[in-house]
Amino acid sequence: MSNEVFAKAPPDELFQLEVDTWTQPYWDAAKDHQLKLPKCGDCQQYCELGASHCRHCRSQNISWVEHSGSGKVYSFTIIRFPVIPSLQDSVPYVPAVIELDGVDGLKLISNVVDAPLSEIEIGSAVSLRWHDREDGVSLPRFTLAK
Amino acid sequence: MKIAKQAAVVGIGATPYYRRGESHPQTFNELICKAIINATEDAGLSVKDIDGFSYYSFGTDTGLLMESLGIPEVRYSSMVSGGGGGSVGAVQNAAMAVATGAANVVVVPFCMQQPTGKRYGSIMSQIDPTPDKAFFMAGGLVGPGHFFAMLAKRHMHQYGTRREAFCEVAMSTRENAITRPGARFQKALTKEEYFAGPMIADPLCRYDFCLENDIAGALIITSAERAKDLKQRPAYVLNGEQGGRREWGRSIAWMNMPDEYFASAGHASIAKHLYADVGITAADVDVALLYDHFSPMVVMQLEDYGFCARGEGGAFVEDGNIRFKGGSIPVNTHGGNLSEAYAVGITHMIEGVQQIRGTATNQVKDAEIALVTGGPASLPVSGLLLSR
Repeated sequence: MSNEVFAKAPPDELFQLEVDTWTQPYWDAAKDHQLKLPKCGDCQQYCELGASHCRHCRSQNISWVEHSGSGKVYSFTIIRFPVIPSLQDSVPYVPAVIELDGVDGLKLISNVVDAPLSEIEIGSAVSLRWHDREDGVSLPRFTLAK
Repeated sequence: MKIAKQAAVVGIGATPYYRRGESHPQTFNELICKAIINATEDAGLSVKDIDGFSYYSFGTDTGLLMESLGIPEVRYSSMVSGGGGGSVGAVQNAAMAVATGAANVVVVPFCMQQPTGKRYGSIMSQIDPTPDKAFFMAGGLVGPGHFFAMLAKRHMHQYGTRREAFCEVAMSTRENAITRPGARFQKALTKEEYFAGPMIADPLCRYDFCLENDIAGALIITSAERAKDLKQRPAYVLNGEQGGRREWGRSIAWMNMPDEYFASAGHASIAKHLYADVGITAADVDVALLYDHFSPMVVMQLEDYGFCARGEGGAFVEDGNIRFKGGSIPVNTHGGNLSEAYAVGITHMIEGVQQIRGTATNQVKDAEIALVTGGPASLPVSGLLLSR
């Protein structure tokens, strides 16, 4: 083993999930380890995550289509300083914007986990890694693709 | 906005600039009242002349202020939505109110006061969880710096911007603060110190982050006609603009901006309207007070506002262009949020007025037009042109 530092993950207690009508399908699918994205059933274009209407045609006929979770790191940061005490054991962790493959540039805010910090770059290919929390919420996270 | 020079900022006032949490036991509205009283005295007006309130970033309660200040009647009270992005939009609203005759004397008050034991730098961990925020809260983004770091990283990737550029923003801003009484930092920042500073959220190190303060400030706006008879040289509202493009949208809380917007400050459309309405260009601006919560966002605003081409902001600042001494466009002559104080935009507005009056500590010679910006943040963002 080298002295390579690996990306950890933010602590679960930082975030409590609240859902509404238009985000419920996303989080329900996540429980089943499926990454589902909103697509307009009328104009067939991808919609904004959590939006009540398709921004292209104002339709509310939103369908949820499964995505493989393959994508690329669009940008990221390495959090090294615990700005609040509860981060102490979690740094360094890596928030990242992930550009998913084949969905018109739709991006997810997530984390790159379990990867050597020195190997995470903009453009790095990533794959999905589910994180199951004790409260029953599952979060899509990403790691460097093999 | 087609009300060029129909309204003017005629008074400015503020409380002392406290370090975060150190303004207690004074209360939030007490601090605001003190700033308003100072601003009316500066203008040569009575507090009772105020008949309008124009807020931004959550504002406060007009009725409560009237109780403490004894203001007899209010005919205008409004607030720009969102946070620091809309800061100077409140001056635009005030100008529109007096230009249309909705009110005669409008005050733009703002107060930032940190609750004991909590800090603005971790604000995202203090807000209530909502369905729309879940998508970023799950990623462990706790402070604003965590988000803006990703915009900076992308700018570096896309345009080859170097940390040396962020360093130059921090150093030049610090140099301006040195001469300012009340500025938090009054010792020069060296390149060595900058690069030795701890990395907080890569690529942002300690010196790329703004300060956290307790400050109240206020601006008094009235009609150009009335301004002529008051105590100070008027700082005319040449133009104001608030809003922005869907492609920028909720920006850091959304992160779905396309390439040309992601590595930007979201102000390009603001700049376009701000200049075009009054027939000027960036070359006509004498001094720029750019909201500097994070040093890379100064670089990106310089691009949005046309002081240099898209992607060239890094080289532009590294060439010394934003220096008060010898720069082509002096930026944040008051020491900005990075080195003087941070209070969500009000300190930039006060400096803009002083530059136009000709009374600034670091006075840009013969400054005729000052640009003041709201924060690169979720929409609305805003820009303001003040002029002689």
